Amino acid sequence: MIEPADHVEAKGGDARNREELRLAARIGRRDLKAFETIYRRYQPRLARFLLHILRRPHLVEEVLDDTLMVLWNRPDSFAGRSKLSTWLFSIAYRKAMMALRKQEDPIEDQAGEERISPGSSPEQHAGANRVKTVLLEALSRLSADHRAVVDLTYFHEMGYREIAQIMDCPVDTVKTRMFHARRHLRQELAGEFSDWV
Amino acid sequence: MADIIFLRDDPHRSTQMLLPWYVNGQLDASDAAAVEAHLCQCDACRAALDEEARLKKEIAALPVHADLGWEKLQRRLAPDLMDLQDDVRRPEKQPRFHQAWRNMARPAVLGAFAGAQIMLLAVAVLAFRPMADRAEYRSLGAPAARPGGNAIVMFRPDAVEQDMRLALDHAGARIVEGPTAAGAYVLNISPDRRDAALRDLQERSFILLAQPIEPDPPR
Repeated sequence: MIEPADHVEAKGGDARNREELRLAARIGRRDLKAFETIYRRYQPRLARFLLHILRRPHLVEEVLDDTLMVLWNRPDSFAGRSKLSTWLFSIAYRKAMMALRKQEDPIEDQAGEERISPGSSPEQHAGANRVKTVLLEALSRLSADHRAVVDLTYFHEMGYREIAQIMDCPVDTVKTRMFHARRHLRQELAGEFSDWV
Repeated sequence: MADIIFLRDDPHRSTQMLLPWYVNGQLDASDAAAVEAHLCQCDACRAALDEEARLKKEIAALPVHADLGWEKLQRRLAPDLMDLQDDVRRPEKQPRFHQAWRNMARPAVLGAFAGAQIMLLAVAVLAFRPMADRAEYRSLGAPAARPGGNAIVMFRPDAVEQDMRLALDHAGARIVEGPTAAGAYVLNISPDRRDAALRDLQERSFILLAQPIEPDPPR
């Protein structure tokens, strides 16, 4: 399993942070091996995060590459005041939101909340796959900001303060976004999974 | 979706808001103590805590087979993904990093990015694949999978059939195979207008991906 940042931290996050600071310093000296280490460590996690926000694979690739290339091209911009993970996710988030704004046809479905879920009938899905399908559809009807908070909280297991840093917003905004997102997910799931949620 | 006002003085409301991070073990000590104190006296919040744990578990397990780890995932998917890599050509406009990469021209870095591209395809395949049995998978590289096809397209799950039909008609594209396990359809487009047709398809909000692939060689 890909280890979430804060889960890893519980097992020795300080050591990992120190190691990543050393790797960042080596990257500043144009050490490609150090960059490859960081790339391999963060690429899967950032890919998942960006896919949740952007929902367009070709955009994910571009934003992900741009994000990690910031570390290679401008290593001095990471001053070490935050964890490297926070810094990278913050860049990824900003670039993703910029990419979304550039899209002429936004993929967001802003009116989705007011609609009854058009999901397929339960007979068309089976067991766990049905859960996944409905959850994916429910997530797709959230805004990019709400999806970001959900993914950072549930998958990457970040705290609300770190998420607030990444999204450059007040901590209370993170809490309320998560509150709304969970309420939306529960509403979407209630009909399908009354015995589950 | 507007943000709401956070009522700090309402322990029930505060607890409801903090539950995701209580489940994660990411709360400050003071917040954790307040949540635990309220949980002791609120049945509704204890029930919500159970729901929260289940929701977190399901969502954390969603699109990426994270329990495999990257190396395992790469090994497991490499054959299929290599087929995809062979077939799905890059769009004409290359991402900016490719230029920098080419300039650096270092094998270690090239290897890292090759791995990155494989991973990206893995994410795309896993996130958008229909829930079909593994045995039904046929790679796009298999000749029988794309007779006469020279492009692939993936639609959003909620795409409307009429929009899909009109888009394909406008692009002059004909579906010759699909859906694949990745949820893609193989298209046949007149070669002289394929690039323009793909650009047209890529601009549609209900299309997740439209990429050229090389047609089968003459037999």
